[in-house]
Amino acid sequence: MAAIGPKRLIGYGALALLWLLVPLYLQDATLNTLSYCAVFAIGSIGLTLLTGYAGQVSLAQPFFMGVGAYTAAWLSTEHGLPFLVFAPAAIVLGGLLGAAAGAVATRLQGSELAVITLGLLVFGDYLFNEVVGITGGENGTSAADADLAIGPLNFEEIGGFTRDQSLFWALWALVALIAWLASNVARRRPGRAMIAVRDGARAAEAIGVDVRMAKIKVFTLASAMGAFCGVLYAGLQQYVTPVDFDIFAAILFAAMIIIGGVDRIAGAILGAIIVWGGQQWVSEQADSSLLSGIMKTTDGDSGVITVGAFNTLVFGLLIVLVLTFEPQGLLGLWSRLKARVAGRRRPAPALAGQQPEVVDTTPAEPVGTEEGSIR
Amino acid sequence: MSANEFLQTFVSGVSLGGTYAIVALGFVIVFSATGILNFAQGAFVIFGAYLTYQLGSAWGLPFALAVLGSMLICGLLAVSLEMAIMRNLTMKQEFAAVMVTAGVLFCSEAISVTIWGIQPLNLGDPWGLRTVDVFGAAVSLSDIWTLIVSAVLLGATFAFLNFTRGGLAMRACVVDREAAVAQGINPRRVSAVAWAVAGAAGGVAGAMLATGTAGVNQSLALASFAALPAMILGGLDSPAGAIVGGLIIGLIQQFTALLQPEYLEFLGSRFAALTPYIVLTIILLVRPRGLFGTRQVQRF
Amino acid sequence: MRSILGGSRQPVAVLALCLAMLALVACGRDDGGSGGGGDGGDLATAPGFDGKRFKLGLITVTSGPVAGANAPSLSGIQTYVKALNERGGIAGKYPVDLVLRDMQYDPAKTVQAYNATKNDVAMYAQVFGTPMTKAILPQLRADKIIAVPGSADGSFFQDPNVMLPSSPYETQMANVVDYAMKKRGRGKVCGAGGEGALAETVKNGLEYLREEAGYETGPTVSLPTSSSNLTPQVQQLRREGCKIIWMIATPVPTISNTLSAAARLDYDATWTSTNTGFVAAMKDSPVFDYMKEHYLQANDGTLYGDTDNAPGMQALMDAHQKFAKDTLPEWAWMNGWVGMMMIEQVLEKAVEMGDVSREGIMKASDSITEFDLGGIQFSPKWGPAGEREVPAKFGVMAPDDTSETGVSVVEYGLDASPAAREFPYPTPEK
Repeated sequence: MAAIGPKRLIGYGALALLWLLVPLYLQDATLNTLSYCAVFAIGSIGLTLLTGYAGQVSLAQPFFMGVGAYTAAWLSTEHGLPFLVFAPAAIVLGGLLGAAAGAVATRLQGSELAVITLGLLVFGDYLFNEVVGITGGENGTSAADADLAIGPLNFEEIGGFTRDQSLFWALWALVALIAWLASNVARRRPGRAMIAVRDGARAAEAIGVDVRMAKIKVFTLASAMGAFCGVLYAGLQQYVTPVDFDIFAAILFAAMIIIGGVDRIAGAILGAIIVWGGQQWVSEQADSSLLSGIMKTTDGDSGVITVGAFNTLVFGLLIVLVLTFEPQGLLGLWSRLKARVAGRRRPAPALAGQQPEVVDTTPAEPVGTEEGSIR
Repeated sequence: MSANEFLQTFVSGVSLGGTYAIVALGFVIVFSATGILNFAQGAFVIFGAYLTYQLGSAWGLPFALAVLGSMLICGLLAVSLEMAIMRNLTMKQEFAAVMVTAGVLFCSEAISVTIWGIQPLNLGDPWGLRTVDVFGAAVSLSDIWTLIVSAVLLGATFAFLNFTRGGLAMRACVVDREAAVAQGINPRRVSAVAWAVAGAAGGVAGAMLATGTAGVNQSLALASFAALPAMILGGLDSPAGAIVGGLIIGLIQQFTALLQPEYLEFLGSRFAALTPYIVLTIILLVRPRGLFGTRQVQRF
Repeated sequence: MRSILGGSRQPVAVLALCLAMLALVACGRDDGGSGGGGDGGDLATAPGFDGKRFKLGLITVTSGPVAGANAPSLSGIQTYVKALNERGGIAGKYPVDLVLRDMQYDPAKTVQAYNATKNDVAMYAQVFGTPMTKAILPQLRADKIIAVPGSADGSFFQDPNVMLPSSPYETQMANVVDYAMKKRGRGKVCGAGGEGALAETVKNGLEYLREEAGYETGPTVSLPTSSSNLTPQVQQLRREGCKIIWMIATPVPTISNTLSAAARLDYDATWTSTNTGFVAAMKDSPVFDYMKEHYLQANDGTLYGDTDNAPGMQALMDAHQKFAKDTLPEWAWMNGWVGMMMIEQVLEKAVEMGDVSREGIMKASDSITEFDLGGIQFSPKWGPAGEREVPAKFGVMAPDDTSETGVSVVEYGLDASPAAREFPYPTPEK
């Protein structure tokens, strides 16, 4: 394994420092929001692998999240099982369902695939509402017993710190772990296989990628991550309802992965922070003097727009504006700016116009030659 | 289940299907020309309904004029959207394009509720709840008109695609964009025209959906999602498929709603909303391009 | 080897963006909640009371399909508070502020909104929706806070931490069905409920009526929100020969779709429903003619403008004219007002008893035997959990297009039916 360059090391070190210090300086409410961002980041990373790398458009990530969340809630509340049992159980269940979904989806692409995954969401809505014994139906169910604890080490109570502080550390550490795992997959053969499938399945098949298996594998991985995201969501929120896993959640996920940058893991993390954090921030600002002039609470009230409508508007505008100016998402914008600066600073290689750094996750060599074998 | 019941349910299935079909048609028009799943279609549906209300009920224009007016405005809105936003996205950036259209849909929900408020509004259509008796089943006039309008739209789309130069240009772009450009066809113009037509179609679809007594309300936003299975079932690029798909989905939903409480009570009432997707999945497994679609099929 | 983040400067990019955003969200921790601290006069401070002013929480919906159902009661609450503050506030001395959170009809977001606001408020003037209230109920219990829900669910009636602002569903149902039986002729009673919990409530209530009042009953159909054509559901009712149907559903389009399907099928049955205000919205709708013949509404009191029957009506009308005259004062609006009347009386009692802490407020609520609702609504017999009784009287309303609110009073002050009075509302375990 090659050594990490000094610049990157400094970058990671700075991030680690930030991670340590943030809970000591921010309010609990903000930390709580950032913890949600972390949870969604994990789900988004899974979705990035599926949609960004492998090109499989899926709206079903909330379904797997729901499966994970309800599994965690039920196993912990009804059966008193600890994290070390319900988390793997949820992940395995999510993965199996994902594999099944992947098997069904192999013949589909693009919009057909998207709508079938929408069907999974509708199925999830049906399941979570109807199986009242396990899920509590539309009232939802408490997940207060789904503690994020491994044996005596309870991540919700680290030392003398508050729950929000402790969870921030625990969840963002998990994000780093998942990101590292995902990048290992993305970097190696499976990841290159995914990209090959995205860019041209027929060509991929021709050079020996088993497209069908690749699709099933990436679905499995993405849904396992989605299920894990759900487990953490249940533990964080301590309450699970079917409404959390509806079409709006699917659009939220899609926005997260694309606003950051759809084919980057860092993009998923960034997107989660911006989209979720942005939503919360807007809700908070509604009370503030900044916006209360135009805010109203009911139709008859003075003001122009209600809080809820304002939130929806900002969300829509965020997506439209970011993607209109930079369809590659914010990280794509950053790369483009960097490339332009680099291009001006030294005589650029002929590929500068091709923006090598924008698509640097696309392998330079085709799949299969790195390991030197062609089937 | 008596014969009358069967007929009545059949009629209600066709009515419901008609609402799906008319929305799906707009989706198909844009998809045929640009390959994008256009969620902004939902925005045209919403604005179509609210604008028809505004022009007709609020400002007193005759209903037909109000509908035409709102079709025109929605068409213009669509073209402006296409030129301002969609133009910037290349063919490769499908996912980004779809997400942008979803963003437009959200904005339209927020804007419409801000301008017109949350309470449902009465569209002021001339049909109300009037029904026609057909062999003992009550068929509502507004549903008949919805089907008529869908058929007219379908006919017009078909005629346009097959008998005009513009339609030929559109079909050429889909088959091979580069070759089309080489022939002197302007894909940008094709795209703009497709969007304009889809916008107008969405506008009239919105007006027809709001003739139901629920009136003009925010649930119209969900109408575009409800039409998705219909569109996929029919085949994403087939206008006739949109109609047939819509009717099938509507019939399935209504018959399930009638029969499930009696024969399959344990499944629960939410099952009726799920059956369209079950049917869709089964059919797509056998025929991945939908009933009438013509897209390339991957064999793995 | 490629880095996780795709480039050597990517971590720095992410870092920069994170720092920028954190800068926006303010620094410095504040490890305490507000409420408590500083002494301000003779009454000790408590959560939601800083010695001079009270704070009440509102967890509501302000956008989306259900917002229309919430808006009127919210307006009623806000108007009451403005009028109250004009008179000086609680006990003439302590004005009231409202803290509002939008939870988008999501029980989980309700839990979050509750956690974000609970340390700042004395009581919750509204938590809109039965699932939302159920979601926070364990915490209300633990934190000893009282909430007024936007709901009429029977399980809340005898709950120590909940004050229902109207009669529970089952009581309304028993009353109005009894009336319909007497006035429209005996017949089979069936139910129609919104998919899920509402349909369950209707079904259980129907079961109770069958046993207790001896009615012939039929099925309860589920009304899905996902469908705009409810013909099959109405067909089922018609097939069973239902003559009286008790219906609870949200949102409004579901109800109007159901009634229009009935109208189209020319279905001659009497639809009865709970206290709601949606009829006003349907005045212009083509289904209104059908409703005039076939719809009755349960009612806990009377309508806007009825100063003859309700001495408290004038104050309501004055406040409405002054602060909210563009808002239609239909039932839900008035119910918001009435809910606040109950809250004011509880807080006033707590001030009188000298203790506005959590326990003090609960004790005050327990010690009230009856609310003075000015005749606008009939008051329940109040008291600690388990000892409350539903109002002894009720009323009936019917659609009327000459009325601003779409309904007019058909009956006022009827005696509640025995079945209504004896419904066994559960008392939660302590």
